[in-house]
This record gives sequence, C-alpha cells and structure tokens, in this order.
Amino acid sequence: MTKIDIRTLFKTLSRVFLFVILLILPLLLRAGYYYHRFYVPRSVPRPDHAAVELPTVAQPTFDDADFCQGEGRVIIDRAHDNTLDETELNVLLARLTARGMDSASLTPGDNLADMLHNASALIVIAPHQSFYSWEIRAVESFVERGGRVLLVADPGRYSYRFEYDEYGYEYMVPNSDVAAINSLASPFGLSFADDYIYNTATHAGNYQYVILQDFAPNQLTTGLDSVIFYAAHSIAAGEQKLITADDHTTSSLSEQTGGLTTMSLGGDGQVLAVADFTFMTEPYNTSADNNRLIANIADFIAAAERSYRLSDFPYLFADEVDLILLPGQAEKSAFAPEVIDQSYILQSSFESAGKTLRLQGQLDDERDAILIGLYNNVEFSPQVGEILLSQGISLTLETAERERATPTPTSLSYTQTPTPTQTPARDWLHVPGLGQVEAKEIALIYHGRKDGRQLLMALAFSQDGLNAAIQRLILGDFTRCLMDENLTLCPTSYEPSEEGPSLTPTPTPEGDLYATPTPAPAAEGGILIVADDDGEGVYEWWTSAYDFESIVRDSGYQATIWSTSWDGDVTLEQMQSYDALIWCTGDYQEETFTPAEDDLVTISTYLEGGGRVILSGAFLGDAEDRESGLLLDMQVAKADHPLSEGFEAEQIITLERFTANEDYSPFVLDETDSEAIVFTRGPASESAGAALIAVDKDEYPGSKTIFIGFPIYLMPWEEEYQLGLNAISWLMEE
Amino acid sequence: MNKAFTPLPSALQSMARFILWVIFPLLVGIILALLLVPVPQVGIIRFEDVIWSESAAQLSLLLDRARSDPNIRAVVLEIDSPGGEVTATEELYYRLLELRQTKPLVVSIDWMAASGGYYMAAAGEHIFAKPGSTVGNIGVISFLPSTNQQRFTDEDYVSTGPFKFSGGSRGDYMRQIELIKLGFLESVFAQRGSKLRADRETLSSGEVFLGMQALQLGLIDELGASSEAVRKASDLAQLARYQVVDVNALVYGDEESGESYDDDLQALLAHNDSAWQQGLYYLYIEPEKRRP
Repeated sequence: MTKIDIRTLFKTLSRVFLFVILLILPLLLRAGYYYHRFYVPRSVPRPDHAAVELPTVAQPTFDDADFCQGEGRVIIDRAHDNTLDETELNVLLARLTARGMDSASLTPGDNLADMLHNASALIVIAPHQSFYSWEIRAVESFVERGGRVLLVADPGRYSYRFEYDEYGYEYMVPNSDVAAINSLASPFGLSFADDYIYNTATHAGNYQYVILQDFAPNQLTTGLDSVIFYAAHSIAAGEQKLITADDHTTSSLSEQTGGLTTMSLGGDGQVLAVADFTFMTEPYNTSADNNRLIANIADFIAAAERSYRLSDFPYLFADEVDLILLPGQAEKSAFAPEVIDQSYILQSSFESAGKTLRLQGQLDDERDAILIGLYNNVEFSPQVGEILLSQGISLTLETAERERATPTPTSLSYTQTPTPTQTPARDWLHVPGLGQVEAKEIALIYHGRKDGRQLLMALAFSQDGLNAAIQRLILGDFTRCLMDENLTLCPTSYEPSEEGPSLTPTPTPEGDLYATPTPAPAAEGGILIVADDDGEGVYEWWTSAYDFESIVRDSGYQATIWSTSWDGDVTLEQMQSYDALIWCTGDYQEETFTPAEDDLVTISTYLEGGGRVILSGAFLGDAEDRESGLLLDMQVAKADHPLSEGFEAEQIITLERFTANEDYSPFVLDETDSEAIVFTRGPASESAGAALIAVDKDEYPGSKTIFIGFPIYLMPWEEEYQLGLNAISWLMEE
Repeated sequence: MNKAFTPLPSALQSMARFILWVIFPLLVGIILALLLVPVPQVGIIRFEDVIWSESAAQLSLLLDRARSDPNIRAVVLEIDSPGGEVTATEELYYRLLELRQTKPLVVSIDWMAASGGYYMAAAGEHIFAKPGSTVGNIGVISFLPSTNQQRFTDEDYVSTGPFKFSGGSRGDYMRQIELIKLGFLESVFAQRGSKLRADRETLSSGEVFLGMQALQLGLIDELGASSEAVRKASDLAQLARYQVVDVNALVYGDEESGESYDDDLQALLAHNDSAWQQGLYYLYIEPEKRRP
C-alpha cells in the first residue's frame, strides 16, 4: 500500500512538475525572445542646486574726504546725441560740487568753443554725433591752456539709425558711441575699440562685469584695490595706461585675451579716457572701489589749472573788475558818448557772465582791471607805459606832437624809439618782431597777469579804433588779428559779422604773432560736404555725403558734413570758409530746380569767386527741361583725364548698388558745353553716350566744377573710391 | 454496477492525461506569456518647440504616458528646440530624470538643442546628435528691471517693504540671473560630469557648438541618426527584439500642430514686452531672429 502510494505520489508530482514547466516555458521562451536579461534601472544623479552659491560683490563704505578744492566750471556735453539721462551723472557731479566746481550743459545749438572760454573741464559721455573739426580745435586749444577733458564711452550706450533693405523696408542698425568719441579722442592720442570686454572665469556676477585689479601708479588710481566695470570697451591706444584687465579678459571684437586697457591718459595727461560709464552710476558706484575711482576722477577734473587768453574774455577775469579810462583820455574827451556806450556794453558783457565791472579812477592792487584809452594818453599813465616797456613796445606819435606845435616827435623816454624819416607826420607803433606799424590802423590789446591780478589794456589811435577794439573784445572776435601770449594787434577797421562769431563754426585764430604779419585768413579750410536731401529722396534718402566724407578724409583733407535738413541753408560766407564744396543731392528732387534756386545762386556766386565745387545728384537741373533715363551703367569717355585715372579706356562700370528701386532713372545731363565729358552713360542705359560726369575749369578765374549726374554710392565701392580720389585730387590741385 | 461502468479505453485515457498535463499548461503558459510578456516597445517622443508652459505641459503628458506604459521599455526623446522659459525647462528636466529612474532615456538631437533645449537633453542617459546639429548655448537671458522702482514711490499706492513691488534691486536680479546660470551648469555637470571635457568657463560662455564639437567637449555621447538612438535605447533596456512606437501619436493621435517652433518663438518674442521682458529664459535666439 505504502509502495503504491509513493509511486502514485511520484507520478503525480512528476505530472505537476511537467505541468508547471509547460506552463512557464512559453513565458520563459517569450521573455528570452524579447529580452537579453532583466533591466535594472541605474541610479540617476540629481543636481545639487542647494550647493550653488550666489555670487556676491563687496560694497565697502566710502567717505569722500581728504580731497583738494578746485575751482571753475565743468561743461557736460549733451549736444552730440549723448546717450545719458539727466540723473546718471549725479554721483560724479556730487563729487565735483564738493570740490567747489560748478557745471553747465552744452546743449544742441550751444557753441562749444564759446562755452569752453569759461570752463576748466569738459566731460563727454557716449556721444553719437562726431565732433566738427572746429570743435576739436577748440578742445585742443582748451587742453593746451590747462583744461581737462573726461571722455567716457560705454558699449551699452548705443543708439539706432535707420537703414533700408533691398525692398525698401526700414530697419534699425545699432550705432555705437565709438566713432563719435574717437573723433575727439584721436587728436589726444586716445582711441576706443568698438568692442566690449568680458571674463567668463572671474567676474562680478556676470561675464561683462569685469573685475579690474591691475593699476598703474597715478593719482587716478590711488587707493584702489579693485574696481568693477559693467560692460566696458577696451582702449586701443593711449599715452599712459592706468587700468588694465587681467589675462583672462577678452575683447569681444578682436578676441584678444589679456592686456586690455580700460582707462588711459592722453593729451599729455590732460585727457582721461574711461571705457565704461555704468560704474559711475547708481547703484554700481558702490561696488568694490568704484566710489574711490569716481572720487579720483573728480580730483583729476578739479585739479585743472586753466590759463586764460584774450579770447576767453570776459571769463579771464575775477568776479569783480575795475574799468579805468586812461588819464588824459577822460580829460580830453570828457566822457564822450562813445566812451560811455562802450563802458556800458562792457559792463553788460560782464554782467551776463556773472561778473561785475566798476568804473574806477585808478588801478587797485587787489582787483583785476581793464584799461582803455588812446595812444596819446599813454604818456599820462606811467603804469601803462611800464607795461608797454615790458613788451618792448614804443610809440612815435608825430601827429600829436605837431598838434602841440612841438617839432620833435614824442617818444617815450624809456624806450629807444626809431625815428621815422617820412614826412608828413606819421604815427608809429614799434613792435618787436614786426617793426614799425601804422598806429592809426592798428589797435593794441594787452592782456597779462601782474601781481596776481589780470590786467587788460586796449589802446588805439582814435576813438573809432578803440570802439572797434572793445567791440572785438566783447564779441570775442579776433579774426584778422595777430595774437601772441600777451599782445594782440587788430586792424581798426572792423565790421562784425551779422551772426556774430559765436554763431559760426569759425575758429578763433590764435597764431604766433611772429609767424606772419599778414592778417590770418578767416577760412576754416577743408572741404564742406552738403547733404541736400531735405531728409528724403525719390528713391532713397542717401546722398553719398558720407561716402564723400571717407574719400575726402582719405585724400588728406578735413571733411565737414552739412545736412540741409538738420543744419539749414548754407550761406556764402560758410562756403567761402572752406577750400572746396561738395554738394550732394542724392536722388532728392526739388519741385522745379535742383539744387533749389537760392542754393544755386549761392553756389554760382561761390564759383564766381574762384570756388571749387562737385555737384552730384540724380536730378540736377530744371525738372521741366530734363528727361529721365534708366541708368544701369557708365563708361569711361575720356581716359586721359585725371578723373579717369585708374580706369581703362572705354571701361564699362555696372552700377550695382540699386536698392529700393531697380528702375532707377535719373535725369540725362546736358553738358555739351563742358570742358570735358569724362564719363558717359553706359551701353545698357537709356540715352547711352550722354554725359554722366563732366568737368569745367576756369569758367570763372580759378574755379573748377565737376558735375556727377547720379549719387556715387550707386557705383561699386572700389570704383567709387577711385573716382572720388581722382575728383578730389583734380579739384584741389592748384 | 461494475458492468455499467465502462472505463475509457487506455488510449483515450492517455490522451486525456496528455491534454490535462501537457497541452493544457502549455496553452495556459502561452496565454500567460502573451499576457505577461508583451512585445517590448521603444517609445519615441518628439519635441520640436520652444519650451514654455503650454509646450512643456504637452511634453509632460507624453513623458507620463511613456513612464506609465509597461510595454514601453525604453524612450528616445528627439529634440529640436532653442529652449525657452526657465521654470518650464526645469520642470521638463526633472520629469525626464523621473522617467530615467524607471526606464532608459536616450536623447537624439535633431537640428538644435540649444540653451534650455540642451538643458533637457542633458537629462538623457545617452545623447546623440548629428555632426551639424546646434548644441550648447548654456546660459540665461533676461532683462534687468527698470531703476524707476528704486527712484520713485507713491504715497497712495503703498507697500510694506522696499522690494514688495519690484521683488528686488537690479543688482539682486543680476546676481539671481547668474545664480540660475550656475544652476544650469550644475544640472549639466550632475548628468555629464565625468564625460565632460570642457571646463565651466568654456561652457558658460554661451557658445553654440556643432554636434561634432559637442562630441569632443563631451556635451553629447555619440554622433548618429535617430535610428541609432533607438537601438541604443533598446540596448540599455536589454531588449533583444522590440517594436518602435510613436508616443506622440499614442497620446495625441495623428494630429500635427502645423506650426513650427519659429512661430512659437515669434509668439514668445512678440509677447509685447511687458510679459516677455519680465521673464527669465534659457533661450537661444538666432541672430537674425534676435530683436534689436
């Protein structure tokens, strides 16, 4: 029984085992078919964000103390499209105020040269409009006389200009401050790079927030351990590098790493270039030693020791000034109405400058003074005689002597006076280096410092001459005058310009007295480029003015752009102050005549005076007479003319810079009377063979004219540049 | 009684026993095998979008489906994204890590996995890209708040603290942006630390790399097609044979949005400034799309 049971049991178990095996087998086979083995998930690392540390920047407390007092005015430029808000300069201005400086803004329409007369420092921050050459000369002169300049650029301070794509759609292009600020920085040996610097290894919370710790010994870097610039340019050139970034800092543009300068001195230590503005604004001024650096910059500005010249009248004086009519003058003319008038005008001039001018009988040892009188009053004023003696000047006044019936010429006893030999009576002013000068024709202005006070003396032969000298002083107009450090000689014939000198960009000539005895020319020189588009054109608003500007500069001449839509009409006087005129109308078209008839009259008058003119535009001439013609190409017609130098005979140039409209159809020029037609319309254009560029020479004595019947930006740049250089060379050739 | 009982012939008995003990368990086993061992699947999820709240929610649904579907044994995430909003990106990063805890996740970069797109990609166990793919651009973009909140106040519109309205100063905000970038780097290093052959300085430059450069830097593991990514996913999941399923189709059917992510990017950028300018973005805006 037991034996049977075991066998049965075994049999049953075998069956169950088989049952189970067969039950599982498909599972195993299927699993084995689809899987290599079981998947065991791996552990997945999780980021430890709690361990990431917040970058911090030290903000040490700062006490603006132990500074030296300065004096004078700081001019803040707001006239060159500067991208800064009113309040952003608060920190620096507060430091300057604490140092006894006051500030004034240069706004559009203000004359920089005029404002610098009464300033000891100029601050220019992130400009977007280049400085005119006369402005640059004014700043150079200002720096030569001890004025200090702070130039600050910032890559975050960009503006936008509008451009147009090939379909005529407007789009904005960012415009950095570098070109504009470099127009002023370059003359002082400074140049900002059009980049920004960054450091991805060590920074103050952002790769553009560069920590600077490499300082050259200088007053400006005193007390600095570390400063932070918040997006800065690099300074490509400078006379003395003051702050340099570390070896991990990179320029975004050059991709150069290391050795990048962010603050530098130029202009013999008078001009400071700083490559960031943000660090001196709130709240960034509180980071690291930024406040210390701002204070150092304020010290640098306040330490300006400005010397004043006659052209700075009346700012060269202290707040209270004496006006003294020379003895004899008052006695003789007994306060003639002209004298009272001139005294009043002088007083008004001082009043408007915030100063006081009081009429006094004699010189005071404490106060600045102005002395006015005639040459024949000199002998009654020993102090004036001493001044003239100190300058080596002597007077020989035969007329006065003869009036007194004294046969011998009067000469000041303390000089060795040359004796004139001519008859009848002559009145001489003997000036070292110039010899004898006709006293009646020349007014003499002396300006100097004596015993710590400013003395100014204006002398002339006649009351009219004296009036003219005083008028020049008030207007600050010393055109046609010879100026030395202390002496100025001006012709007594004087007609001030209607606008007054302060309203024109004519620089004040302050040349060497001994350089030439001939009157200094009033011309500014260089080439005036007039963009005459009234802000719009038939196809585009371009006029080629900026292309001409590059070409003129590369030709070695100063270029000044005048936009009629911004700057208004150009006067004949303004034209005449330049060596040549380029008038670009682009594809702007007046309703009747282009350029406008008034402008054409002015240009014609300019040409009659021997002027040199390039007239360029698509619609030159009278709209009623001209016919339009599709312009696709141009061809060299006169290969031996200087204008076609570098081009081959009959070379065809395809105009490829068509932008908004491919159906570009300017007027067909009718210049058959011209001296030479150098380029004609090309074979693919309508009216092929018609004049496109023509020249005239000596139509009026000395005049030269180039007519270009299209805006030259339509040419491929290489050919445009060559033509431009040829044109400027021919135009300026004597 | 005994006569009445007629035992089955022995052959029949044998047959019955065979059916009972062999055929039956085998059939049951086969049925069980079919039920218990389905054909394993490699799920493919496509994400071609800017990362923002809506697109992140849609992708989250796909990830949930892939994670919860037992048939899907491995996942391949095909990415073509320039990134997008910070928190939406981080949400997806953590969801991908969650998925990876249950099944292998392989990432295949198509055209671009930049900024937040790469943040997501970094969550993958293995990353494929094409030689010319755009990879990297690690970093954050944002706009600093105006200083007006720090300059002006209103005596009628009051708050109980200086930063109640603004949330913080510009300096604080700037540091927070940097902190977020450091968090991004931390997330990348956590997943790829030993594989990376680029230092933090290089990666935090925000540079975009080609796929072949990204391979050299260790930002990705391999260059190859998405089919290779599928094979890699199956290998990681120990699959010998498998089906490939489109998870997007499983969840959303065959419907396609019809919009490229360029449209979403433009929509994001055109959020007319108040919303757009208040945001934080792991976003790569290609230069021609960048707003002036």
